[in-house]
Amino acid sequence: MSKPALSARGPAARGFAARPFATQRLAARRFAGRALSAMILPAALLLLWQIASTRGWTPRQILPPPKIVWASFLDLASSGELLTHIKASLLRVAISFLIGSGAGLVLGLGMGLSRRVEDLFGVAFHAVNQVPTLGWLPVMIVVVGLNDTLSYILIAQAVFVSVAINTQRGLRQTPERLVEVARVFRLTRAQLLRKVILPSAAPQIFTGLRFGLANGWVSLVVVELLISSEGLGYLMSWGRQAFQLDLVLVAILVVGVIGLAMDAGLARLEGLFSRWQTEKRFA
Amino acid sequence: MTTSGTIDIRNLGKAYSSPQGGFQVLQGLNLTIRPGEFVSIVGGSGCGKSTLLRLISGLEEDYQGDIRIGGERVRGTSLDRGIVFQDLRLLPWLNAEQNVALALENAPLSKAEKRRAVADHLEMVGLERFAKAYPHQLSGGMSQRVAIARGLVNKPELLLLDEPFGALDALTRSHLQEELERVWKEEDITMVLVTHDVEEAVFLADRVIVMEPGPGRIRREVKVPLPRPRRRGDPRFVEIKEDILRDFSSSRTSVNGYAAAGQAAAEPQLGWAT
Amino acid sequence: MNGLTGLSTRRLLLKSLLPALILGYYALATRNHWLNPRIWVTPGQIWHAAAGLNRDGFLWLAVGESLLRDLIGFTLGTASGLLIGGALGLSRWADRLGTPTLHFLKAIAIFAWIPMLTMFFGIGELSKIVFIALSAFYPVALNTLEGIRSVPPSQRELARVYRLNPWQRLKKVIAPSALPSILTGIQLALILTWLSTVGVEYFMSAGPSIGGILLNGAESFHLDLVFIGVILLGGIGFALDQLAHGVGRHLLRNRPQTLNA
Repeated sequence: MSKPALSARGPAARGFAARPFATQRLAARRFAGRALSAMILPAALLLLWQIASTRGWTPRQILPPPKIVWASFLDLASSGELLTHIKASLLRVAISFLIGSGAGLVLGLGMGLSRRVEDLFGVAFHAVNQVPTLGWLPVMIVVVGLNDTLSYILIAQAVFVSVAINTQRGLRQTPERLVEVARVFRLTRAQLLRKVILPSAAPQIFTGLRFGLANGWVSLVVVELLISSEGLGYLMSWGRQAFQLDLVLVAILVVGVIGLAMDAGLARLEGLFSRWQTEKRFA
Repeated sequence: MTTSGTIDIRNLGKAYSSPQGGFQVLQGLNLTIRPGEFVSIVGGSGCGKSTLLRLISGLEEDYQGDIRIGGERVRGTSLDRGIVFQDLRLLPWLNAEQNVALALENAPLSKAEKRRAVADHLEMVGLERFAKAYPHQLSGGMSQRVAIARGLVNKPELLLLDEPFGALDALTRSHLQEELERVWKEEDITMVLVTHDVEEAVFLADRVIVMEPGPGRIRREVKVPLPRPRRRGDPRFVEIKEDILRDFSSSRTSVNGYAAAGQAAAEPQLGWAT
Repeated sequence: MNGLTGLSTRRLLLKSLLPALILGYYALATRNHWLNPRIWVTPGQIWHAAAGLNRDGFLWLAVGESLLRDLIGFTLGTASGLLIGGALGLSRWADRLGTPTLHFLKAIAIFAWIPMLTMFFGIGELSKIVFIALSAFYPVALNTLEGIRSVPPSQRELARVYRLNPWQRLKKVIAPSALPSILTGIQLALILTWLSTVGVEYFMSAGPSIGGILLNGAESFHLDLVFIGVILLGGIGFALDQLAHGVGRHLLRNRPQTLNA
């Protein structure tokens, strides 16, 4: 059989040209401009803070000058103390996240793929969801006691809920029209799952993981403020008791930076897994 | 040509039940399609032509009457019957190549043979350079070609096409029609094309089946005894086209080239059952 | 699925199996002292404790205090969120200067502010209100900004074609177009402020309040008190959520498709 090629005519043929170099440079310059203007407000606030402390508008214990905060940051960082607390917090979150998201994925997959599993666990699951982490905290304090186990349970629970809900929702939302494609090509159940249902649910599952991590991070701060003897939350609550606002501020900033970094990391991972959604159209 | 692949539809009926009550989509439909034949089905919205395709493909199994292919009653889908959907249904997370390869998941071929078949068919539709492109990066016409390549890649005996060119501009459309005719001749397969474009139906088919709604049934059958390749300006071509279009104007629908477009709103809409 | 009527008996049985097992086990375990009776209270004891709190009028006082606190913080936070979010959305300069900082501040887990607030304002009412307002501020500001940003260019062009002045443009085009997103933000704020109200009461030991009940219960190991607090926290939260969605649906009743189903 000789098969003369259909010519891809018209706009189609202009296909995959790489983005011109000039546009890339323009984009880079615009990004630099954006970053610069983004720094103006924080810089202004910093200046205001500096003036306020040199003029003595606020007492030193209430708002120490930026210099002192910076000094305690350097001190905390160079002594390795800050790193110890960061490590403790990250480890706590990582372990809880693994437990919570693992369990959430299992239950979410089960409830998303099987009506029977959903019937069995759905009611109890939704009842448990009605109670926020803040409600579980005192219950668990009474039942488990004020210890590390408690922190893992609470953080993992916060992750678990969001992962399970979103996994189930994602699986349930697979468009029927794409499932029909699988029927036409007579895919087996496993192939259907691998080629159609899971990729279709992947964005929502990732959303669940991202929300889960964000929720877990918030719960970590709550838990560490209350019970732990190390970690960023502990650093804050210790700083408050010692009336050292510089420590509190350093801890707040680090909590923010890590929160942002984790979210950006997962977003990037999500992008890798769903290139089909994020890439620009060529034709 | 063998007779093993003859499609034999006897007294076919199909009803959907909805909360508002039942709705008869098809009733008392008889149709025989010979192997290797190109049959077009035209009709206004709601005449059940897409439903008919879904029944032949085996996607819908709940019906009255009988659909037999080569004497066997249709039960579920089969790799011998390909279908190209109106809305294409490319999987957005697979690139062009992977989308075509999806059809070969369960084909008894080696990996190398599969790769070969996919490449051949992408080449056939002129998309070899776009094998790695994702559906959202392709234009409408290119996506359409991927869908056709996917429908053909496992060499079905029968290819069902549900308004495959509906969403394309006139130029791309007539171009793809010519290519489809070429593929049909080369591959020697049976094709059933559902369309609301009468000219497209006449251009491609050996026989045009005109359907009418309420409930969906065959109004009549028009043979197209013109030599191929056909010219759209040919007086005999125009005559056949006009003849069919008259059918539509007499059946309470004003008609231009695209029959019954204005009827859509008045007809019960059942998603694919248009 | 159309409610309970559409379920077969088998599915109904399956659905009630796990809750029935858990409740059954709990009832048996507390009655037969399989679980430590000093911690695990029976449903009867919870009821009894609730009745006791109710007799003093304490229960309603606590609910009222928490709701009032929530309302004040919610109002302040929502108002400032609308102002800031609106400014960021309407002015390109404000957007470039302020939005990145807003996003960074939002990334700081909200409870991390509590130590600093108590240092600034003590553990009195002011700290609590500021904290509650803060938790309403972020979702309202961000959703207002997002809503205004995603006003379709076609609608903006329409405003230019008819030469609307800035005030008319805001009133007729931008505000209605951004409304669904803004309402989503306010709904989120309502539920978040409820959580932070109870949270901040717990952290800054308020007097009679739901957070106070939880704190007392946890510190004195009275699970009956804790459960009362949990039920109030969950129940009122659910009611507020329903209220917010009801109001949202009403306001958007004429829209073809709304973000809050």
